[in-house]
Amino acid sequence: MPGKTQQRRVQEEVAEVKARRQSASGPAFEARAVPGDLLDLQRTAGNQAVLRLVDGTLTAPTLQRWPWSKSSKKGGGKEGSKGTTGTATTTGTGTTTGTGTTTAPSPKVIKIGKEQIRVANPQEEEEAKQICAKLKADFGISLSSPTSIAAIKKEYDEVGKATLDSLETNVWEMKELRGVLTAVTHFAPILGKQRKRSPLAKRAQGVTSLGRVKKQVDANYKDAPLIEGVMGEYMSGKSNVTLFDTQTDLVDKRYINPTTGKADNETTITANAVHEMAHGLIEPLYEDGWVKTMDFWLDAETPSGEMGAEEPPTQYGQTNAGEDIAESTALFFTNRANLETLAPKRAEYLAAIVASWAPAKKQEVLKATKTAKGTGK
Amino acid sequence: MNPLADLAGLRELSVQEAADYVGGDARPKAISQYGSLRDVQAITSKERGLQFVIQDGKVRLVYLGTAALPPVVSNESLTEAYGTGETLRSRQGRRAKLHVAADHGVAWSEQDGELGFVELFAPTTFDRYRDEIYKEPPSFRQ
Repeated sequence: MPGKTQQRRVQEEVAEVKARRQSASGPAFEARAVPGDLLDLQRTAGNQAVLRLVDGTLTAPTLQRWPWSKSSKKGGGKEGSKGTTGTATTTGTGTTTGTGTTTAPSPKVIKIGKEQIRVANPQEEEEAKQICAKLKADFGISLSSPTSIAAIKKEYDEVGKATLDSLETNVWEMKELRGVLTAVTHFAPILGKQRKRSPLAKRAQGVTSLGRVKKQVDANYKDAPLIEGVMGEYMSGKSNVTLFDTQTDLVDKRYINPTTGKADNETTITANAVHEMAHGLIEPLYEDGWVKTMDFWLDAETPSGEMGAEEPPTQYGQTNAGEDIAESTALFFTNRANLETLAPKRAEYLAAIVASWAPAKKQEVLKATKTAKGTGK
Repeated sequence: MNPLADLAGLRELSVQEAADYVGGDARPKAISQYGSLRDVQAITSKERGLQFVIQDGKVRLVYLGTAALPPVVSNESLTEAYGTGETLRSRQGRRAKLHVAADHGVAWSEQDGELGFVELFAPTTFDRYRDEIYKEPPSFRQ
């Protein structure tokens, strides 16, 4: 249970920071935060938010503004700001007391378009709006959990109606939005505006929506139940990537945060999103070449069994060539050094793919530069 | 009409005949495994999507990828010829099914009706196919 282990670790870190602050500045901290709410905040807003809160980076005025009381906002609690994806509406509850003690914020759920997003404070609400707008405007990707439900119903057409009708969208956590944005950014040259300038301009974009659903159906058969354990899925019928509850609190040690050099939850979320996006953006275009290049594969579905062939970087990647591509891409963008060690041929192949996404003019310049160097000019 | 009529004879070939069928300098090479079959060799043509899996000096299984299959072989034509067979999970994908007509010595994988591959082997029981040849794919968690 990585979630519980992580929770314990955060509790320890919180205690440590708290102790440091108490020794440095006395009991002031006690007046600003309610430890009982910290776990909620950690669960919903992430470790960094908790640590910022405890460490004092989130200031008292910030806390005192929470929640967005009707009196503090024009429009009676309605944010009223209109983003690309629709109007945002806040629906939280207030907890500020009149005793002079300010309680820690209770995260609240806002709506942007049809998506629900849990935010810890006004800054996060603004950040959520910006992420949604950026995904749509810059990358041509909408957050749309209803599209995810529609995609599942379309692709799992043999599953009983009652089961399909019990599919539920879920609230996005901010850490998921941030992780998704990071994942999408890795594919930026072939998404939205930039795709129009790329060599893939004439091909339809393979991922146009991202959704958040609680559980996925087991497989495509009549009595299939909803199950836990599925992290994400790409569904080509709707060009949709769906993330499920399982990935929310997961930490996979293979994926490393480039800033800290350590594995963390948000980087795992990013890696999972990259994996799914690779199914939609890389696999359809490059699988044939991948299979031809990688001796491990006889074809897209079956390993060749060839002795000494470079293996996919993970056990799961050995399932079929599509999973190999998705696993390799996730590592390429979140722990490239590891991929270069485990599967150098794959790292090199992916580097060539990514280089090929450059706009035509830029590629001409690169080619000319290479030629010039080759001729000693 | 049996869509595999022209291909079913491949499982009867001797190792030498299989090598001749593949052509070139094809010869048996040790491979790590095929499904649950271990201590095996294979004569492989990656270009043709074809692999003869050899065990104890005999062709134990013939793998036919989509590149090796004539247009007449489809999920529909196989279902018409053999029924849906027993169904197992397939490595082809999360929604894919492996249909096993063990008594006919045929198994095929399809996802959303799209054929992924065909396996030919000596007619056997479903239980023996599942226990000796089939390897269950991991849960598709992503």
